[in-house]
Amino acid sequence: MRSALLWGLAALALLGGIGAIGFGRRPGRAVASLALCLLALAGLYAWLDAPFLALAQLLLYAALALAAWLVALERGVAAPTPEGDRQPLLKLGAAALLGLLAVKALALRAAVRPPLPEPPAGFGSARRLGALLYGDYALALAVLGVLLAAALVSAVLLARRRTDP
Amino acid sequence: VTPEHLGGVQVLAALLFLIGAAGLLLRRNALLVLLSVELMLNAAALALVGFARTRADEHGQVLALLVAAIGVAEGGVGLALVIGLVRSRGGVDVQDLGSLKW
Repeated sequence: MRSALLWGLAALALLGGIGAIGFGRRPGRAVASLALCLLALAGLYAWLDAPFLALAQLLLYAALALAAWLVALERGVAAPTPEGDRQPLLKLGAAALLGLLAVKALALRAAVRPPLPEPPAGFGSARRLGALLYGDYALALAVLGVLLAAALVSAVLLARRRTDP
Repeated sequence: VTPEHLGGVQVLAALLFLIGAAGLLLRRNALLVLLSVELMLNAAALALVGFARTRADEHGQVLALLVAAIGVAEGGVGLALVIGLVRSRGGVDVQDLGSLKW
Protein backbone atom coordinates (compact mmCIF):
# COMPACT_ATOMS: atom_id res chain seq x y z
CA MET A 1 0.00 0.00 0.00
CA ARG A 2 2.78 2.41 1.02
CA SER A 3 4.78 1.47 -2.11
CA ALA A 4 1.78 2.01 -4.37
CA LEU A 5 1.22 5.44 -2.83
CA LEU A 6 4.86 6.40 -3.47
CA TRP A 7 4.84 5.33 -7.10
CA GLY A 8 1.42 6.89 -7.69
CA LEU A 9 2.59 10.24 -6.29
CA ALA A 10 5.82 9.97 -8.30
CA ALA A 11 3.83 9.36 -11.49
CA LEU A 12 1.61 12.38 -10.73
CA ALA A 13 4.66 14.57 -10.08
CA LEU A 14 6.25 13.47 -13.37
CA LEU A 15 3.02 14.03 -15.32
CA GLY A 16 2.65 17.49 -13.78
CA GLY A 17 6.26 18.35 -14.54
CA ILE A 18 5.98 17.26 -18.16
CA GLY A 19 2.71 19.18 -18.52
CA ALA A 20 4.32 22.31 -17.03
CA ILE A 21 6.71 22.58 -19.95
CA GLY A 22 4.62 20.66 -22.48
CA PHE A 23 1.66 23.04 -22.71
CA GLY A 24 3.70 25.65 -24.57
CA ARG A 25 0.72 27.35 -26.20
CA ARG A 26 -1.59 27.18 -23.20
CA PRO A 27 0.15 28.79 -20.20
CA GLY A 28 -2.96 28.35 -18.00
CA ARG A 29 -2.77 24.58 -18.40
CA ALA A 30 0.99 24.68 -17.83
CA VAL A 31 0.42 26.43 -14.48
CA ALA A 32 -2.29 23.90 -13.56
CA SER A 33 0.13 21.07 -14.38
CA LEU A 34 2.83 22.62 -12.20
CA ALA A 35 0.29 22.94 -9.38
CA LEU A 36 -0.46 19.20 -9.76
CA CYS A 37 3.27 18.47 -9.59
CA LEU A 38 3.69 20.61 -6.45
CA LEU A 39 0.69 18.90 -4.84
CA ALA A 40 2.19 15.49 -5.56
CA LEU A 41 5.50 16.68 -4.10
CA ALA A 42 3.70 17.73 -0.91
CA GLY A 43 2.29 14.19 -0.74
CA LEU A 44 5.78 12.78 -1.25
CA TYR A 45 7.11 14.94 1.60
CA ALA A 46 4.41 13.53 3.86
CA TRP A 47 5.39 10.03 2.69
CA LEU A 48 9.02 10.79 3.55
CA ASP A 49 8.12 11.61 7.18
CA ALA A 50 8.22 15.38 6.65
CA PRO A 51 4.64 16.42 7.62
CA PHE A 52 5.53 20.02 8.49
CA LEU A 53 7.35 20.48 5.19
CA ALA A 54 4.36 19.03 3.30
CA LEU A 55 2.05 21.57 4.92
CA ALA A 56 4.52 24.41 4.28
CA GLN A 57 4.80 23.35 0.64
CA LEU A 58 1.01 23.50 0.25
CA LEU A 59 0.70 26.90 1.93
CA LEU A 60 3.68 28.49 0.16
CA TYR A 61 2.93 27.32 -3.33
CA ALA A 62 -0.88 27.59 -3.28
CA ALA A 63 -0.61 31.39 -3.37
CA LEU A 64 2.12 31.33 -6.00
CA ALA A 65 0.19 28.92 -8.24
CA LEU A 66 -2.92 31.08 -8.02
CA ALA A 67 -0.95 34.23 -8.87
CA ALA A 68 0.80 32.46 -11.78
CA TRP A 69 -2.57 31.24 -13.09
CA LEU A 70 -3.95 34.79 -13.02
CA VAL A 71 -0.87 36.06 -14.88
CA ALA A 72 -1.27 33.23 -17.41
CA LEU A 73 -4.73 34.57 -18.26
CA GLU A 74 -3.28 37.94 -19.38
CA ARG A 75 -3.74 38.47 -23.10
CA GLY A 76 -0.05 38.95 -23.92
CA VAL A 77 1.00 35.87 -21.97
CA ALA A 78 -1.59 33.54 -23.45
CA ALA A 79 -0.81 34.67 -27.01
CA PRO A 80 1.03 31.91 -28.87
CA THR A 81 4.81 32.26 -28.81
CA PRO A 82 6.69 30.65 -31.71
CA GLU A 83 8.52 27.60 -30.43
CA GLY A 84 11.21 25.35 -31.73
CA ASP A 85 13.61 27.81 -33.33
CA ARG A 86 15.90 28.57 -30.43
CA GLN A 87 19.60 28.42 -31.09
CA PRO A 88 20.93 24.96 -32.01
CA LEU A 89 23.73 25.39 -29.46
CA LEU A 90 21.10 25.61 -26.73
CA LYS A 91 19.50 22.39 -27.94
CA LEU A 92 22.90 20.70 -27.96
CA GLY A 93 23.51 21.96 -24.41
CA ALA A 94 20.10 20.65 -23.34
CA ALA A 95 20.86 17.21 -24.80
CA ALA A 96 24.25 17.11 -23.03
CA LEU A 97 22.61 18.12 -19.77
CA LEU A 98 20.00 15.38 -20.16
CA GLY A 99 22.72 12.75 -20.61
CA LEU A 100 24.71 14.07 -17.66
CA LEU A 101 21.67 14.08 -15.39
CA ALA A 102 20.69 10.54 -16.43
CA VAL A 103 24.13 9.36 -15.26
CA LYS A 104 23.79 11.47 -12.10
CA ALA A 105 20.38 9.93 -11.37
CA LEU A 106 21.87 6.44 -11.45
CA ALA A 107 24.71 7.59 -9.18
CA LEU A 108 22.23 9.09 -6.71
CA ARG A 109 20.23 5.87 -6.70
CA ALA A 110 23.38 3.92 -5.94
CA ALA A 111 24.20 6.34 -3.10
CA VAL A 112 21.22 5.10 -1.06
CA ARG A 113 22.48 1.91 0.59
CA PRO A 114 21.22 -0.19 3.49
CA PRO A 115 21.08 -0.23 6.43
CA LEU A 116 18.86 2.80 6.87
CA PRO A 117 18.95 4.44 10.32
CA GLU A 118 15.59 4.53 12.10
CA PRO A 119 14.29 8.12 12.42
CA PRO A 120 13.74 9.37 16.01
CA ALA A 121 10.26 9.94 17.44
CA GLY A 122 8.65 13.12 16.12
CA PHE A 123 10.96 13.18 13.09
CA GLY A 124 10.03 16.07 10.79
CA SER A 125 7.57 17.62 13.25
CA ALA A 126 7.12 21.39 13.60
CA ARG A 127 8.66 21.27 17.09
CA ARG A 128 11.91 19.64 15.94
CA LEU A 129 12.22 21.73 12.74
CA GLY A 130 11.45 24.90 14.73
CA ALA A 131 14.22 24.06 17.20
CA LEU A 132 16.65 23.70 14.29
CA LEU A 133 15.42 26.86 12.53
CA TYR A 134 15.75 29.00 15.65
CA GLY A 135 19.01 27.31 16.63
CA ASP A 136 21.52 26.31 13.95
CA TYR A 137 19.72 28.19 11.16
CA ALA A 138 18.79 31.42 13.00
CA LEU A 139 20.99 33.58 10.76
CA ALA A 140 19.66 31.92 7.58
CA LEU A 141 16.11 32.49 8.84
CA ALA A 142 16.82 36.20 9.48
CA VAL A 143 18.39 36.62 6.02
CA LEU A 144 15.41 34.82 4.49
CA GLY A 145 13.05 37.25 6.20
CA VAL A 146 14.92 40.20 4.66
CA LEU A 147 14.87 38.46 1.27
CA LEU A 148 11.11 37.88 1.45
CA ALA A 149 10.49 41.51 2.45
CA ALA A 150 12.68 42.72 -0.43
CA ALA A 151 10.89 40.39 -2.86
CA LEU A 152 7.48 41.64 -1.68
CA VAL A 153 8.43 45.31 -2.15
CA SER A 154 10.13 44.72 -5.52
CA ALA A 155 7.21 42.65 -6.84
CA VAL A 156 4.77 45.45 -5.96
CA LEU A 157 7.02 48.10 -7.52
CA LEU A 158 7.56 46.06 -10.70
CA ALA A 159 3.92 45.13 -11.22
CA ARG A 160 2.24 48.44 -10.42
CA ARG A 161 0.75 50.39 -13.28
CA ARG A 162 2.78 53.52 -13.97
CA THR A 163 0.75 56.70 -14.20
CA ASP A 164 2.01 59.96 -15.68
CA PRO A 165 2.34 62.76 -13.11
CA VAL B 1 10.56 2.62 3.73
CA THR B 2 13.27 0.66 1.91
CA PRO B 3 16.50 1.75 0.18
CA GLU B 4 14.79 1.00 -3.14
CA HIS B 5 12.05 3.52 -2.32
CA LEU B 6 14.55 6.21 -1.35
CA GLY B 7 16.66 5.49 -4.45
CA GLY B 8 13.50 5.90 -6.51
CA VAL B 9 12.87 9.28 -4.87
CA GLN B 10 16.36 10.42 -5.92
CA VAL B 11 15.76 9.26 -9.49
CA LEU B 12 12.43 11.11 -9.52
CA ALA B 13 14.18 14.28 -8.26
CA ALA B 14 16.78 13.98 -11.04
CA LEU B 15 14.05 13.45 -13.67
CA LEU B 16 12.09 16.49 -12.47
CA PHE B 17 15.27 18.60 -12.52
CA LEU B 18 15.94 17.33 -16.02
CA ILE B 19 12.44 18.26 -17.23
CA GLY B 20 12.84 21.72 -15.68
CA ALA B 21 16.25 22.21 -17.31
CA ALA B 22 14.84 21.19 -20.69
CA GLY B 23 12.00 23.70 -20.31
CA LEU B 24 14.41 26.43 -19.22
CA LEU B 25 16.61 25.92 -22.27
CA LEU B 26 13.98 25.26 -24.91
CA ARG B 27 10.93 27.40 -24.07
CA ARG B 28 10.54 30.99 -25.27
CA ASN B 29 7.55 32.04 -23.18
CA ALA B 30 8.92 33.88 -20.09
CA LEU B 31 6.16 32.42 -17.87
CA LEU B 32 7.06 28.87 -18.89
CA VAL B 33 10.75 29.62 -18.26
CA LEU B 34 9.77 30.76 -14.77
CA LEU B 35 7.72 27.58 -14.20
CA SER B 36 10.73 25.53 -15.31
CA VAL B 37 12.95 27.24 -12.73
CA GLU B 38 10.35 26.50 -10.04
CA LEU B 39 10.33 22.86 -11.12
CA MET B 40 14.13 22.66 -10.83
CA LEU B 41 14.07 24.22 -7.34
CA ASN B 42 11.41 21.75 -6.21
CA ALA B 43 13.39 18.84 -7.64
CA ALA B 44 16.40 19.93 -5.57
CA ALA B 45 14.18 20.22 -2.49
CA LEU B 46 12.83 16.70 -3.07
CA ALA B 47 16.38 15.33 -3.25
CA LEU B 48 17.18 17.08 0.05
CA VAL B 49 14.10 15.62 1.76
CA GLY B 50 14.91 12.16 0.37
CA PHE B 51 18.42 12.28 1.75
CA ALA B 52 17.12 13.66 5.06
CA ARG B 53 14.99 10.51 5.41
CA THR B 54 17.83 8.27 4.24
CA ARG B 55 20.16 9.62 6.94
CA ALA B 56 17.39 10.22 9.51
CA ASP B 57 18.72 13.77 9.80
CA GLU B 58 16.36 16.77 9.72
CA HIS B 59 18.90 19.29 8.41
CA GLY B 60 17.88 18.31 4.87
CA GLN B 61 14.26 19.18 5.63
CA VAL B 62 15.25 22.60 6.98
CA LEU B 63 17.28 23.28 3.83
CA ALA B 64 14.29 22.19 1.70
CA LEU B 65 12.10 24.63 3.62
CA LEU B 66 14.58 27.45 2.94
CA VAL B 67 14.70 26.44 -0.76
CA ALA B 68 10.88 26.54 -0.95
CA ALA B 69 10.76 30.02 0.62
CA ILE B 70 13.45 31.30 -1.76
CA GLY B 71 11.57 29.69 -4.67
CA VAL B 72 8.35 31.47 -3.74
CA ALA B 73 10.17 34.83 -3.41
CA GLU B 74 11.81 34.29 -6.80
CA GLY B 75 8.47 33.28 -8.31
CA GLY B 76 6.75 36.41 -7.00
CA VAL B 77 9.39 38.72 -8.48
CA GLY B 78 9.41 36.69 -11.69
CA LEU B 79 5.64 37.00 -12.10
CA ALA B 80 5.89 40.76 -11.55
CA LEU B 81 8.55 40.88 -14.26
CA VAL B 82 6.29 38.93 -16.63
CA ILE B 83 3.47 41.40 -15.99
CA GLY B 84 5.87 44.30 -16.63
CA LEU B 85 7.03 42.61 -19.82
CA VAL B 86 3.47 42.23 -21.11
CA ARG B 87 2.71 45.89 -20.35
CA SER B 88 5.87 47.31 -21.86
CA ARG B 89 6.33 45.03 -24.89
CA GLY B 90 2.96 43.35 -25.34
CA GLY B 91 4.45 39.85 -25.31
CA VAL B 92 6.56 37.43 -23.30
CA ASP B 93 8.97 36.06 -25.90
CA VAL B 94 12.40 35.88 -24.23
CA GLN B 95 14.08 36.05 -27.66
CA ASP B 96 12.92 39.68 -27.93
CA LEU B 97 14.76 40.70 -24.77
CA GLY B 98 18.14 41.86 -26.00
CA SER B 99 18.49 45.36 -24.61
CA LEU B 100 20.99 44.25 -21.92
CA LYS B 101 23.23 42.47 -24.47
CA TRP B 102 26.56 44.05 -25.30
